[in-house]
Amino acid sequence: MKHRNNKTIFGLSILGLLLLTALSLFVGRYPTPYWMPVDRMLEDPLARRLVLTLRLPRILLALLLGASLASAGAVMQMLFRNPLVEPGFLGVSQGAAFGASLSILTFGSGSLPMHTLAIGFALAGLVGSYILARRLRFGGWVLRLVLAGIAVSALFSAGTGVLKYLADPLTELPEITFWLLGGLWSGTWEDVLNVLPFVIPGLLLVFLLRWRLNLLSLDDETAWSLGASPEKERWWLLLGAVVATAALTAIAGIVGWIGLIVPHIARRLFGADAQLHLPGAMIIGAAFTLLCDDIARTLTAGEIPLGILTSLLGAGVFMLIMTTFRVHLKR
Amino acid sequence: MNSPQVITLTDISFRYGAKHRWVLESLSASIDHGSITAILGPNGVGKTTLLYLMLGLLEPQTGVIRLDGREISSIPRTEVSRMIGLVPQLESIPFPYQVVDYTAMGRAPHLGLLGAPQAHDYQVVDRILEMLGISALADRNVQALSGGEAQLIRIARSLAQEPDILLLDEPTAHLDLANKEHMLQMLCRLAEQEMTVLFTTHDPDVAFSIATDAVLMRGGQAIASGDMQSVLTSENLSNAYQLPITVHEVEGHKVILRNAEGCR
Amino acid sequence: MKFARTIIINLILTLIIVGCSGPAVTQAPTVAPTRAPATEAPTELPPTETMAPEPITVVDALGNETTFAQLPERIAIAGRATALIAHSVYMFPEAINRLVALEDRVQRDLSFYRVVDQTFEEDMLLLERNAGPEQIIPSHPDVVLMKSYLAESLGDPIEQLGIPVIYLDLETPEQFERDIAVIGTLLGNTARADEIVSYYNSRTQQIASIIDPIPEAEYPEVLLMQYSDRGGEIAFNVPSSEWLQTSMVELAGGEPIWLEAAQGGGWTIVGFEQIAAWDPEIVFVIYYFSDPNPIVESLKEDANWQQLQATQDDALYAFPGDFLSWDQPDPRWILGLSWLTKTLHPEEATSIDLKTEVVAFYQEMYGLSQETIETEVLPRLSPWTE
Repeated sequence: MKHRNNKTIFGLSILGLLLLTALSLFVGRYPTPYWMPVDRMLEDPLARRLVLTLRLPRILLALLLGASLASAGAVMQMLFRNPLVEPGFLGVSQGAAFGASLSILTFGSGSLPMHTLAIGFALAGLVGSYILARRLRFGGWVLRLVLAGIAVSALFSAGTGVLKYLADPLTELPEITFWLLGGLWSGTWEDVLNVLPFVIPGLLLVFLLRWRLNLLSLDDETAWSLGASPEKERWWLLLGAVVATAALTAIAGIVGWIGLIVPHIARRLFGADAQLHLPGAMIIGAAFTLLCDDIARTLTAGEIPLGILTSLLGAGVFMLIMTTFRVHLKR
Repeated sequence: MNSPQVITLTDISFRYGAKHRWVLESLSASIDHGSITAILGPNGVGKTTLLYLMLGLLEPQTGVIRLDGREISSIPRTEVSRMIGLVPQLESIPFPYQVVDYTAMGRAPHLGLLGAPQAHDYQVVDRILEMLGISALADRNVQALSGGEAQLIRIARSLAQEPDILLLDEPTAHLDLANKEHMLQMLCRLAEQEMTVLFTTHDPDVAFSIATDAVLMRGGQAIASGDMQSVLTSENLSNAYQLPITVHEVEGHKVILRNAEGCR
Repeated sequence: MKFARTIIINLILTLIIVGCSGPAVTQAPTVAPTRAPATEAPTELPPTETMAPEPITVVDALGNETTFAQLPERIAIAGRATALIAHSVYMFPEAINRLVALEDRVQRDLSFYRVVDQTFEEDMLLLERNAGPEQIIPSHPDVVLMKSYLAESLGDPIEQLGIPVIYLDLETPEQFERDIAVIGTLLGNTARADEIVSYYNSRTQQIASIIDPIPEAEYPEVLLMQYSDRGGEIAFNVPSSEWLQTSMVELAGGEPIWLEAAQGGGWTIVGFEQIAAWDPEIVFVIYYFSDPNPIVESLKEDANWQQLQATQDDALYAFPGDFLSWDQPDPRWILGLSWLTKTLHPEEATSIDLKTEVVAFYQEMYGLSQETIETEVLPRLSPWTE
């Protein structure tokens, strides 16, 4: 009775995503910049190999990254009742960055230490923000959590700065810096398999609990009176969002803006009800990130850091939508 | 509801923390099934705190709260929220939900943790909106409503819980005379449908208007509770508000006069 | 980071200047640096270690002219790429006595210093990494050497304290020649500088004579890349088109095919797809952290890399080095260039014998004995094609 329009928009979004994914397989630098003709893929074994071993895992990682960041942003915006929040709060991204930088300096090459430390410190950021928030002496719960998150983020950023300072400037520093700008250039099937155990459960958890986000966005007393356990449920939702995000940040570095603007776009298109706009955010986030990564690996001979593109395109789209989109979808 | 007293509070003492003052001290009261009970008292006496205690949102340091004869701590919270609904005085809604989606949030006690409203739930919502006379608001943005409309949708959401008891915090505080009357009549209609209605107010006129029972609070205690007529006497009211107050009957209606007019 | 450091350094500077009277006084009263717009011919000095009483003037990489009342006796080197400058300075015999302070950046550099400088352990003051003026001052240097891109962040503050700073680049063959001459003037041994330059020139001329007859169309397509794998993130980096690595490939008669990706100032990451699109004939792999050979072996076994003609033709090479990789802007670039020439054009480059080159280099440039070379240098040689 009321979701008819949404089904259409949803269907179109998913269709668009699938189309974009299919097209992305044909885009790259081989054999010539930009477009690979279909017959080339059929005839050239190297082309097939590139598509299957390089492009496909990278596309999947971009989709997962976008979906995770966008849903994490949506979750946080609703839980903190603040549309200006993104996964970078609560020290999650910065903690992951710190953990990965630490791993680069101490363990050198080795993706297992990198993943472990990134996820570990991302969760530490979350837990640290939570514990600090409990100890703060003024303001409501949401305000305290945001303040604590800012403090913890700043601490980790400073820590990463220190690590950059200590890094060998000829070799390690450029790597840390590039990594901090974000990029999927080294994405392999191994990376995909490494992140799936974290990303799938995380996204699933957030997806299943998405309707509760509506309750949790109201005052705590109200949520309580409706039978919710606000603190516990918040915790589960944040955990799911953070684990998925941190695992992918360990590979892709810090990629900004997606967690901030995609939830806004999703709310505009699908309404404020999280039941709908959360999966919508996942789809849009996945598509947007895939688009940016396609550009990152195709536009020039050298790789463009993904974070730069998401910020550039993200800011542009953000300004466009905020200044033009004034119609409220009536359903 | 089985027992005639749906809510009993026995010897309740409560404070918000070890360093805070006692808000309630050895308060005892009971609410009858099907009644319309007004909770009155000066500002800050703990009326809202009392509501939260009845909801199980707060835990008293001493004393026992019973819902339908059962200790509230022994009832799972989902069940509590099927029994009691709370209509807060004010609410900040951070996102532009549609009224129908917002009302459907009240269905939470009937859904599992992983559940979401289904067709049946939306039928309940439609029915409630119609009963409250706000079906036309169904598609509207909750952030764009007037104060009176916002309160109605809060009631709608609470009713969606299908509770037996409805708690309202200062339901008429910001309403003009016409809307106030409208609101009070609606509470009467709810009571007619076997719902126990409980509301806080600092205005005795409102209590006189529709309440069957009353609880009068002062200094963290219930100085009188029970049948409204016997509770809201000149003596009790003067005691509660520390002002000379007299209750008069004018054309069949009870009114109060504060015997202190003019500048002094 | 840099900005914050500049602020902090300037704050410290302000405090020092306020505390002292007038311009800060250095501990070496014999040095009176001036900056003159007019040019003066540098004074000729006898190629001995005795101090000349006449003033000397140098024009450094930034074009600044500095006059010293007499030869600086205490020289410090600071900033990133301290080692690269130090290795150049150590080609002069005076370095052992005049170098007093070095920034200690990477552990493995110290082993080379110990080989060329017997007094290193006792006499050299090791400055901590990213030393600022406050850490450098206590070593009482008469002059501080550093790379020219550190002028604003490190050089200016030091000069504010009255200690002259000489900027060096040493990043292209031309800069190398120019800056060696500057070092020679500073050390009072321009004859030695001439020796060094003529050594390099003889090599580059020899290489040019080998390469010139070869038509450009026959230059093999070369990919020179740095392999990095920190934290499990494998990246193939190509050097900037303006860097020494690119010049070396061109001088050695190769065609660098990565130039379209190298327009930036530093290392640029390229994906394997792009490498496959280029499909170079020869690939050189640089690896700064340890022996590149295992890297090359792993690439040869990678199913993707096996599709490239370079792998199929067995033309995947690890870039050689000893104490350092030979691809960096460090005196060893001449060895890297010789090796590249020999590898790219083996038939035409028969006159180059790499073992001889290495021995000659260390004997003539650093004055090492045959025995030292055999015990310290040759074992460190990693890998090469002979």
